[in-house]
Amino acid sequence: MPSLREIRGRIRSARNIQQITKAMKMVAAARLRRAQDRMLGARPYAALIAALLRDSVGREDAAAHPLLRARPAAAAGTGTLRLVVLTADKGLCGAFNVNVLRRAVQILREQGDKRKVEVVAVGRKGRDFFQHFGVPLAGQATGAIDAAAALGLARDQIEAYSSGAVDEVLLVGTEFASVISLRPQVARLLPFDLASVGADGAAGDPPAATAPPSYEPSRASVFAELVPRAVEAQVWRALLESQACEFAARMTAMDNASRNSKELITSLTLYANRIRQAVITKEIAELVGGAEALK
Amino acid sequence: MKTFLLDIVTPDGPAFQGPVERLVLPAAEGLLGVLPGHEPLVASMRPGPLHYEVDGKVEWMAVSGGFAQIGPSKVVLLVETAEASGAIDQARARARAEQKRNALEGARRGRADVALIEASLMKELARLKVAEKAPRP
Repeated sequence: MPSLREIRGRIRSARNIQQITKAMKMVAAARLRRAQDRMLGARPYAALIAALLRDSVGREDAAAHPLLRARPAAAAGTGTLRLVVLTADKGLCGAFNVNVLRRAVQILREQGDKRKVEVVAVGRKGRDFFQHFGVPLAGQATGAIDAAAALGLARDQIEAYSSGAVDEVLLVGTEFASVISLRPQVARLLPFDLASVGADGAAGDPPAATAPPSYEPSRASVFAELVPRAVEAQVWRALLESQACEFAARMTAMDNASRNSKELITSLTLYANRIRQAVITKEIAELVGGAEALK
Repeated sequence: MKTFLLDIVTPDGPAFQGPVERLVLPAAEGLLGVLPGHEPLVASMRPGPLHYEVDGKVEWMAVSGGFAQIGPSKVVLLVETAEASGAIDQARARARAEQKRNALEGARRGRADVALIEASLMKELARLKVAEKAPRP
């Protein structure tokens, strides 16, 4: 039987852990709110720019832009596939990183023997994971998520695709449906998938088209500029979405941890009290026994 | 006075939304004025100052490049950034424009990306111009 002091020590450490997890939950909740605002702000822009693109494509030849044209190699399941895997820099956020990585590994397994698959890791957790298992990285990005970093990431992918080094680019990330519903998601980034960006016209719809619009300076030049912008917007949106999911996952995980430590403290306290009573009972029995013997 | 709906959307969220009477925006090939009932037009935009009129009052805003989607009763501007004149610090905008100008000089001598720096200089000049339009406090 453990001594009373040992158990009191365990209660103390459980209480300390609870304080830390509670604080982490609070921090995650505050950052989640900010991340959610940023994410909701980015959604209309991405949706509107995709809608504008879709609108212009409807009147244009669908294969008018190299970033929209599917490569025969990708259609045949050969060539080079690039996965951009969005994870967090830090752990302690439940299954968030694991879910994304599991999905990425699944694709690696399915596609690996058919075509060359390369990985771009965003977030320290993903980078460490692939390095540990000896998967060569075609690129990586860690640290704070800001517009400049997203732009750089998007431009790298566009460049790799345009140069012909890569035939298809997939984004593996997490979609934020609600705080308790975070879904790992695979979306095609390049060739740009016009159908993938849902038209959630929450912030307003594009102007109703009464007649086909004219383009200035010219249709081709607007189009050439529009496609990369749409790709950039999608990357930015996916990054913000992943970040919001990370904080939501951490908040839930830390809430569970706080609750578990509370349970642990309750049962340990009960156990400590039982031991304390057993000790008292034993002492009384000894006293009585001793008094009997003196008679 | 007749109005149309102006919607300025950036990746950081909506920057402006509301009815305006007149809009002048920096299109790729020069300033473009928009009045209610404009024919449908999609124009690419360069960084620069834009202004619109609400109730006879002119508001200025600095925008970076993007697209304008113009319809008869609604205009949507998709731009990378949009800053209202009151939100820009004039002194800092001037300092940054100066810095970009010097960077451009350096880039012309070297072989750095001139187009990129030129674009950011245009953006800073737009911010400076808009900052000067801000009502004196």
